[in-house]
Amino acid sequence: MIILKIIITLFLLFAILTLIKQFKKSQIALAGFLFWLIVWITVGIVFWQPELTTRLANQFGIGRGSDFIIYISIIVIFYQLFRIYAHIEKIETNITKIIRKIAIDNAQDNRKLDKNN
Amino acid sequence: MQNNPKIFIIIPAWNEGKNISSVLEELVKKYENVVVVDDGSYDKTSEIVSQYTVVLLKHIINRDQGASLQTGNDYALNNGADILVHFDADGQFLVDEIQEMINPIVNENYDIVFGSRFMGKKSKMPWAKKNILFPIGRIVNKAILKIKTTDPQSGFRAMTRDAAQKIQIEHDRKAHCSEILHKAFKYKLKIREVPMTVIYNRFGQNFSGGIVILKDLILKKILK
Repeated sequence: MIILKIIITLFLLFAILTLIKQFKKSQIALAGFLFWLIVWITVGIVFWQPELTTRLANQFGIGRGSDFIIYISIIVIFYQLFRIYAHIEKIETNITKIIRKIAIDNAQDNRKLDKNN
Repeated sequence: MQNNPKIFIIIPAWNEGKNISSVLEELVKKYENVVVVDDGSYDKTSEIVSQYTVVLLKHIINRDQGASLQTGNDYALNNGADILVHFDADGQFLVDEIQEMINPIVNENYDIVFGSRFMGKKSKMPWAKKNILFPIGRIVNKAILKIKTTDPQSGFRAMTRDAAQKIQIEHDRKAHCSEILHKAFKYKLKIREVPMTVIYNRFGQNFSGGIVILKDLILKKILK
């Protein structure tokens, strides 16, 4: 178990360092930075102090800490899915605007064809 | 409405190379301003349309029917349209009935006119569509969008310039029919339904298509 904990901790340190680098280079917004920072720190706490999650779970009437984590994870995943869907919709709308502008700017008007020929 | 309004007929077309000739053949004899939006077709739709005295707008990639109609609307509005008519590329609607759609706008000051397949004229509608799909569509329209029309998914419609400016189609896919109806009621436009004929070459929206429309409508409402 201790080996797994060390591997996970190294991974978390790597993830947090990468996150800080991204934030410094302005590749990620403050809200995104804080969100992921909290996620990784929480994962670390859960790995080193698993009994904490059981105590927290009991507060919500859930018996096991691992169950509590699964419930929370599902909520977070669904929320993220929804955000991704919203983001894709926004991109789709913008693509349509671009395609529409190209179509109108390059309109092929053949209404006078007969008169010119 | 002024005399001799400038009428624009807008036709979204996606891979309609086989059917669009006969529609355009008839349309250009009666209407000066026909706008075809080729929605990223990979057949010869554009080449065929180019042979007619119409305006061709090309979506370089497919954006679906709602997006195509809005592209046509934008073009027509930029070019001084007084009345905009949405028509079909595959010969489902009758060119002769366009005038019946326009008359209430010109003579009775209606803002928007919808063709209805449920007002007397004979349309050979598939049984499942008439007895299952459309009744469900009507209930959903009434419950979610407060729409009270006999035809929940009419694609044949005519509107004034003012109505087209108000009704910006945001649903790129098939939910635009419900969206246009919804906005017509929301903006308190003067609405009229007139009987129309539909010739069914193919089934159109099936049940799964209906579910996709419902999903699009609900999600767009949540995302706003």
